[in-house]
Amino acid sequence: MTPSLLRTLPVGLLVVGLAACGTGAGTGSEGGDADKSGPPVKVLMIGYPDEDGIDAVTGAKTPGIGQLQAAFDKANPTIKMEIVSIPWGEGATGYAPKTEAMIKANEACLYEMPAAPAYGKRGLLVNLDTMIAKDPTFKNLWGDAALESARSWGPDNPKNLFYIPNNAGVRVIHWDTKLFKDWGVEPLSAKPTIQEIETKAAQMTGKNPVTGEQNYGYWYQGKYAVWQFMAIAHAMGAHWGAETAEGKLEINWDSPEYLQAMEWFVKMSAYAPKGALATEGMPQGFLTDKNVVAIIPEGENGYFIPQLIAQPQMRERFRSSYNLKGADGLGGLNSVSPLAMAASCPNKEQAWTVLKWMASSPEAQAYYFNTSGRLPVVEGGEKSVPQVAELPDGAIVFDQVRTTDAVYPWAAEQPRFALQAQLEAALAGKVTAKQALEQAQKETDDWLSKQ
Amino acid sequence: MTIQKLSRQSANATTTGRKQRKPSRGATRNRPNHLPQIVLVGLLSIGGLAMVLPFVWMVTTSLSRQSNSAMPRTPTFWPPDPSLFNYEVAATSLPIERFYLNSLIVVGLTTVGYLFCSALTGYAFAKGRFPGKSFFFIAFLSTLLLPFETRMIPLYDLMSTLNWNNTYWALIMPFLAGGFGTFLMRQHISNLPDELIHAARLDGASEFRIFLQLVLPLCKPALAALAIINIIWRWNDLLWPLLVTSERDMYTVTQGLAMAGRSTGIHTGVALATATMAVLPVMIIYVILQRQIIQGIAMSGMKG
Amino acid sequence: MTIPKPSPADARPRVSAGRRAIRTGVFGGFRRTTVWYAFVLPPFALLVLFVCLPTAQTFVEGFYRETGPDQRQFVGLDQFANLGTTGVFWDALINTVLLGVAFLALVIPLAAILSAMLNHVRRGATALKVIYFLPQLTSSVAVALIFLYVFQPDWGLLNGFLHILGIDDVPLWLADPSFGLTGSRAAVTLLAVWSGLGYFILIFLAGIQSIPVELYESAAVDGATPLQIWRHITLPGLRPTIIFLVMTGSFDAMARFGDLWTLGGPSGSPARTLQSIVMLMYQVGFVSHDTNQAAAIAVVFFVIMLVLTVVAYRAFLSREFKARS
Repeated sequence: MTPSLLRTLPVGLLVVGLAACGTGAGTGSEGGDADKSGPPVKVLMIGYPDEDGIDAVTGAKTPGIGQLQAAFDKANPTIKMEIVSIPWGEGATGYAPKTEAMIKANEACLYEMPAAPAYGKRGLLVNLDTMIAKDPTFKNLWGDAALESARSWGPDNPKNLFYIPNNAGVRVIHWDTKLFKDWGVEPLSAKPTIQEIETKAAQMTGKNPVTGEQNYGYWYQGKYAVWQFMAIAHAMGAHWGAETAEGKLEINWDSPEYLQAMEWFVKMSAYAPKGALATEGMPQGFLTDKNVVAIIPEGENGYFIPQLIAQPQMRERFRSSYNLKGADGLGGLNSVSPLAMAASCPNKEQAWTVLKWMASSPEAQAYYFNTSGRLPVVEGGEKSVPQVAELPDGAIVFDQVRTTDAVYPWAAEQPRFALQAQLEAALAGKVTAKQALEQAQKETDDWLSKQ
Repeated sequence: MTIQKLSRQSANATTTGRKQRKPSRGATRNRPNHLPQIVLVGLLSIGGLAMVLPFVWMVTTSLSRQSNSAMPRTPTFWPPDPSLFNYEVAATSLPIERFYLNSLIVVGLTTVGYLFCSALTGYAFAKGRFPGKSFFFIAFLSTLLLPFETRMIPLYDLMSTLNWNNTYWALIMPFLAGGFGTFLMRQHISNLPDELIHAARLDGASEFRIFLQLVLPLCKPALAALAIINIIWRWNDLLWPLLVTSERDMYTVTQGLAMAGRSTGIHTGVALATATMAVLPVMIIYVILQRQIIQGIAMSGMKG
Repeated sequence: MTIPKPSPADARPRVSAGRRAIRTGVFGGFRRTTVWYAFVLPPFALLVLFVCLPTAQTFVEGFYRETGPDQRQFVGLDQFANLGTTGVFWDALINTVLLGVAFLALVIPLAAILSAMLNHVRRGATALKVIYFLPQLTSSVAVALIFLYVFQPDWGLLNGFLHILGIDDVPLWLADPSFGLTGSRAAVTLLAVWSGLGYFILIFLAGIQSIPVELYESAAVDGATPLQIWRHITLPGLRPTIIFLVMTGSFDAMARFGDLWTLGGPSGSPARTLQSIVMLMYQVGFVSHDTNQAAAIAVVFFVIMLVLTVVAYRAFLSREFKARS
């Protein structure tokens, strides 16, 4: 070892050590608001940006979570509210264990809680019907159907209202009018069927007759293909199973409808760019004049709404249709964000006021929309986000939010990961659809047996 | 991991002065050399290009705003629309400087602690005499047989029990003592002449003073090699930070990059700008200290 | 790689024993005995708390099953039997071994050749070493993140070059879960070779330089060609280096995590082809929250590492030390 390193190393380490002492002393003592008295209503929010940021595509400002806090404080000067913001994370440090730890330690009153029914089942949440009953000014802004579909089993009541939806994501089917025109294909219907998509995607795969470029009829987000598969399967009449009265899940993938859906999906994947299996999000060139994919299912709010707002010139080229619908008129992933109240909350009246504001106020709706393009779920919520109504298919986008499939209680659990992994294998042609479903069923059964 | 090291050390210790230890230049010069230098360097440079090109591509792509939504189908090494936009996006959405601070604190303190503990035990095992010495030494060595992955789940539970999750404690404390460092330092200190230490003892110096003022300065090369290895390990660790830190303000650079990669992955330009910010400072330090780092790694047979 | 790997415990060079014997005669005071405990006990306590106890706990957990909140039941070898019947476990194990073998089979010959060439370079050898070693210093996470895009089938760097070379039927890399030479496993093997090559070259160079110069000198006198010299002197002389690299490479391969996690998420997509055994342990323990099953995987992992260590010990120490002494 040469002398120069020996000289620099200790100095470097010393500097690092000093830096550690300086910051080590500072951490952990933040956030003490000495001038306020009484406990604030703490709200756990997941996945919102800590700071104001910049959208990577449009360059527009995205507001940090502090702006929601500020809007609340302005509108509710008499209530102290404090947002605890955490990222979605992953595994051990994901939102799920953090939520578990916080609810065990009675750390917050309100929770953005994707697994609200499971926590309700354990008796840890307030049945919000009790809050509604005590609230003379309550007005159901979310619609009876939305609240009805939010109800789930609890220890003392089979129909608890454990959460109220905050906002929702949306998944529509996009299509590129220019490519349709180039190929001389009729525009996609507002409510396309399986057959229509199959026919048109096949027609538009190949060398574009006008530009000579390689075009693709179809698209899928490989890493989240399971949601597209569920939409296809629902449209073909498949049903995953049910939650029993005791709150146990029964899941069946190994059915003729699922088989038919997977075989169709595998067939359609031939019309998609070859690399689709390894992707998330939209194809490269989407919403630009470089796009080469004609029909792009499962377009999520965050991928198209802010971009179309920022680029009016692309609105007529890239249109949106409803997601695939089943015989019940419903279809597409239900991605509402549920807001729940902990049973341990000491100041439930105040918390209820906060919950209502977070789930229905125009300011809150506008905030969710501005950070990630998430949409209001209250009646008249369109008014909070006038930008969407201006889009050519704004009405379809809003209506799609209201006509999704029901929530999947297994959406963040092993059955989903088992199905996703097998779906990937089937899409890659490594196993047959039948084998994939059988294996997914086996892994799901293993998991169910341990519940 | 240490086998080569062990054999080389024992060889060195027993055969000091043999031609084996001749500097490489001299050895090369003595060998017959028929291969034309230009062919050699040319071929090796092609390989070197393959080593460097992905990094170059990373930087040039990160400078293109278009790459967030429409990557060119044929790779370009000059951004069509050069700007620092992606860096602006990455810097406003991620506290990169905070990640660096966390990494510096964690890596710095673990390294200081690890070197100190290793030298302490290494000295005791090399020059000390006390009942139970073999027991302790074997106990230290046996931990080399226990892979970190085997204990990570109970260790995670322990951190939760101690309420250390999301603190520097969890990232530092489990990595202060280890069998490898103890072993390495014991080997080096064993080779120090006993007479020296004995003389200090006769002068009435305490063992701790001998350790601090005599032994430590004498094992600088070993400490430097151990430091380099430990810095690389801790800097690059993902598994453990992933388990014990959920608050973004506690992320290390490696973890912050992994999480950012998963959330901004669809925006190639921003993701690669983040990667550049995580990689470039390390590379610069590497280029400055390259000789020491490469020697340290070759000497100990360890890597990151 | 982040942690010290197991290595033979009993590898103390004989020389220190000799020196200790000398010192014993010189120094024998008893009052200085206790001070050594102050040196050894604090690190020992850390070791017990953070290494020994958690490891022991893993072994206990592996034989239990959680039956309710804070309740568990002794189930003997059930967790292990359960592992044996789940395809996911075998998939992860096979992946891990396969990726390790493929990596070593590629990187060792490549590094042997490149280091031999590099050893003959008179000017610029240092610069080349620095360049080849560059990826090794970059964290595996950063490398994986870059390669996520390098391997992108439709617009990635690698396929872009193949297009330029006139290859139209480009590989799908991470979008192809096949065992083939163009699939996801091949892609991550390329990635590992690319990032690990520098380290292997470095160790090979150190190995070459430890071969006694006299051997080369006499070969030169005999008029041997460089290739003959490489074949009959360098290669045999590198045997310990190769054994060392295979062994350490195996430990690293078994513990592979960061890059695969970055590329394929906890389940190692596509189609679980990139799930290593440590990733499975992570997924079972922290995504599915089955601590006991994860502990069983950890025990199996330990046993595999132990077997590798014993093999390393036998292959290296028994043969090499005898040969050298």
